[in-house]
Amino acid sequence: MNRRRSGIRLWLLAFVGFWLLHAAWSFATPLNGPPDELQHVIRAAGVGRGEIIAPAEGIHGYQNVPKTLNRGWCFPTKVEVAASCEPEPVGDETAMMVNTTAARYNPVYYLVSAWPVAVWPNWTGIMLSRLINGALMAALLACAVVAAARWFGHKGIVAGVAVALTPMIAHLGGAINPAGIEIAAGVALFAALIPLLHEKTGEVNRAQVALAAVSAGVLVTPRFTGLMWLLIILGVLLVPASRARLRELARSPAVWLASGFVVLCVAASLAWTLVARTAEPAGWEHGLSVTTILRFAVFEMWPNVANQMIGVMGWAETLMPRLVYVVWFMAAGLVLLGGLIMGSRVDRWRLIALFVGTFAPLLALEILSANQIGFFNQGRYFLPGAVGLPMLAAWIMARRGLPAEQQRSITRLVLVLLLPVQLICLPYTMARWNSGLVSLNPYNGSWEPPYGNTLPLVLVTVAVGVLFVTFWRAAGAPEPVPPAEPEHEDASDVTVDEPVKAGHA
Amino acid sequence: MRSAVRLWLLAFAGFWLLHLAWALAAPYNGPPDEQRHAIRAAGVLDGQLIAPPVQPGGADIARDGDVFNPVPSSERDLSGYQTVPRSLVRPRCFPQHPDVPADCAPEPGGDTTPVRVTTEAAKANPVYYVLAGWPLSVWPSWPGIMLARALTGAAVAALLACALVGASRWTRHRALVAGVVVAVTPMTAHLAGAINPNGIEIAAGVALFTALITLVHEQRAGINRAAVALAGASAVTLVTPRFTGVLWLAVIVGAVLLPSSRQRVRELVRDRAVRGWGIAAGVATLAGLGWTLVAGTVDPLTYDHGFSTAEILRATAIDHVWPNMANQMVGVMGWAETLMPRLIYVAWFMAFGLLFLGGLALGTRADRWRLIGLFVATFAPLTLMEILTANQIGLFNQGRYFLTGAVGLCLFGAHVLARRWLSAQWVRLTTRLLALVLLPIHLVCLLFTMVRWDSGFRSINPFNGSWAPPLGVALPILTCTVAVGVLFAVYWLASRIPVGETEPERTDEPAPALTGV
Repeated sequence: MNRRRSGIRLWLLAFVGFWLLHAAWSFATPLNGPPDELQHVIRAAGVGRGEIIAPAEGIHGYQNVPKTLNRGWCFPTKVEVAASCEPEPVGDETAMMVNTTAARYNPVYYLVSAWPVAVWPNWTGIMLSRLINGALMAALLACAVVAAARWFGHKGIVAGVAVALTPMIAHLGGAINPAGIEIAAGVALFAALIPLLHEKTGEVNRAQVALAAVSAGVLVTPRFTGLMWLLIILGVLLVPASRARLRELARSPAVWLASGFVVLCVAASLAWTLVARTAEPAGWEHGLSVTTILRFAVFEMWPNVANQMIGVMGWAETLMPRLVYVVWFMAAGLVLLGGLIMGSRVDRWRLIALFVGTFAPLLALEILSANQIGFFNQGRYFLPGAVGLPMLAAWIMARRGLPAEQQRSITRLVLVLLLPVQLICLPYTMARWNSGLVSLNPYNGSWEPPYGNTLPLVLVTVAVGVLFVTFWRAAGAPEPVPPAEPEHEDASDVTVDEPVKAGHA
Repeated sequence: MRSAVRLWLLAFAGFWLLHLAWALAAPYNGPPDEQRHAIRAAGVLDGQLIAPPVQPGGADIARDGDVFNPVPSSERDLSGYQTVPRSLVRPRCFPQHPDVPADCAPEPGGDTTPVRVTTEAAKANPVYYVLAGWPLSVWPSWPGIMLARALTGAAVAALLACALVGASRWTRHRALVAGVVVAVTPMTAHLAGAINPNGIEIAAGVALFTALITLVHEQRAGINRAAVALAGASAVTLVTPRFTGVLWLAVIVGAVLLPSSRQRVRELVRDRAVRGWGIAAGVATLAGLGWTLVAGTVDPLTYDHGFSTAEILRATAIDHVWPNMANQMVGVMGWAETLMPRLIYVAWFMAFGLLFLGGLALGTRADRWRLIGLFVATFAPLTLMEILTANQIGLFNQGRYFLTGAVGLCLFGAHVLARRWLSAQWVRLTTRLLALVLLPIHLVCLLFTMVRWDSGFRSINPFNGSWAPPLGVALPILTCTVAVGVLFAVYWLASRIPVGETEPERTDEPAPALTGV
């Protein structure tokens, strides 16, 4: 009972921390500040009016929405232009037909999280929708943190979760855009499936099964790419897996029930994709040569993707202070290369397969279809799979003999390095929206968030504090399993000043 | 002993070939500040040890049709002038313009009439130029330039080979080999294929760190004479060519000694060889300091750029200098204008993160303070000086200036990991994985920089350019490919676990929970 209570407390703490972080972004951001937000707002307003299948034009479509939501693109993709160039979403709410690239998107996300836009087509609806989106993501991420702290024989994976949760995810957590929930579902799915398939045998943890099912269901629903991510994540974690464990899982009614739920979600999502032709390619011809496509992809797009996964905010136009990326790459290097080094052959192949499975499909698709679709990729598109890389690697390090004390040291170092980055990214992006980076002081700008500059800055500071406590506790929470007899020589000599013996691990 | 010599020879061959590849690929003045140092070298060899200061209008003025541009092109060139053969003075038309190929400047050579030209290096210590730049006085043209580059490359290769052998033979689990793999960035290879004393300073830093870590922290009893000699020779080398060497010596010795076992330090101080080399390093330091004072090498400039404090802080911390420095330590080639394909930086930062953050996370309190202290001592002095003097000197820092201390972060990180975490087998894997990931990047960087010099990026094929290296495009590519292969073999051999050292069986079974303290 105590264990359960402490789990609930940790979940609540994590949920509050993540939600506050997402709320900070919500309150800081102009309408259409986050990537593609207006497209999704228009879709949400249309869905709210019952326009589930939108009249199509090319790859886009039309929705009838209040005029208050029909805003332009005077500042997105132009980092030096402040958000004050655009009128605020208030005034005349007469309906008008507006084009949106999200017109064919699955309506479920919009019905669940963006319904307030249909009721209040102004700041109230937008903020409420952002907050609902942020809360749903926070719930999934809190589940992942509790899973990392409770369901593993080793807590090393907490470091992987901390590396996985980049500022880009927080930015999407404060936006009306289904990409955020897709990524959060990826994090939760990894956190549930790794222990379910590889940690313990002899019993089936129903909570793990439930989290896996819910996150898989959430993953496949809002965007058509979710199906691909489910296949990749399942493939990487199942191939190979212990047959005995698979048989054990197959005997569990809970697993059957969960699998049925996921199959239903997959079928529904596939049906929507086919009916609404969500994934139908565009038919342009840009006339790019193969050399031009490859050169642009390798030298421009791929490096941008690396930065964007950490955070190039807004419409991928607001590069953060660049040392942010250096620090994040270093932390990712510690965990990823550590996992590759310490892992067994199977572990390494799993990591490499996840790397290839995460990046190859969309990058190959982009190269093959650059003339028809253009260079469409952004770092955030890869995050539902990429979040698994540090999680899997950190889990491997812990599983292959990194002592518990050292796992905790890595987690806490990662926290000290990475959490403050959230405090840099939000004020810097606010400076971009408020003054077009003319001033780095967010209070010196021609635009101001609807509830002022102070609220998001206070929220992000509190959020970082709460998350610090959350992860600190998660990394050092009581061990979930009783101490086992060590197979090898105890590694307790690792903290003394004398050299440890060779091959102690 | 024999195997150590063989390893040294192989490592020397690998590094020198890598440096030669850069030497063979680069146009004259392609590497950073090369013409400034070539002019200084030609002047020094002509006996112009203390360069006269430039009076207004004192340098030769370019006339119509001249192939050189001796007018001070930068205020930093005003430190003094040298009278050198006209064949070494070329217009600076392509440096800092990555889209301009190197054929905009005439090749060096031809008319050797003496001309007076300014150079930023006019007051630099002459020792490097006498030892490595003498061919320029004999052949003030391509043969002299290539030979001078090759001599610099050989000196850098010799120091790195010593460091590599030391790392392999003297350190626990050969951990410092992994540190060397990460510490020797493409930027160092680029500098080692150039007439520029910066490469030697960096290599001396790598060798000094390796030797001192061995003497003070790896070996708890007895004196390793070879390590003492390497420490002494690299300290002497470090303090000589550039005035910053004295700063680096203080930083490196401080980082190694604070804290350390007093007993061990006393044992070292009592040793005759240590004292002998200590005196040699002291004399070299005094000589370096003496030159700096006599020649006025660090006399500050007195301009006023009129930047506000906010502008300086924003430009340094956020917009340009510090983020650029991180990339430049890995490699932004030429006159810091040729950014490499950006994913190479990601790979290098990740590799650095493994060693540095791994050491920071898993070290003892003393290890952590040492790593943090070294980090601060490496970056704080020059960055603070830049902020404080930005209005007088401008934003002068480049990543390569910091490499001499920064290499120690990789080496100390690797040292800590082997002591606190990684078994011999894992250290071996670490070294080999890092070599596998990072060595090919050397080849990518050379090819990409050749593309920049040969065509100004109009084509990504180095054979498709308006400029070609004097001995052809194929030779440097071939040399670099061989060098990368040799270095891979070197790292592979250097990381081998000797027969007799425990090597536990690897298993696919997970380790039990709670194996730690």
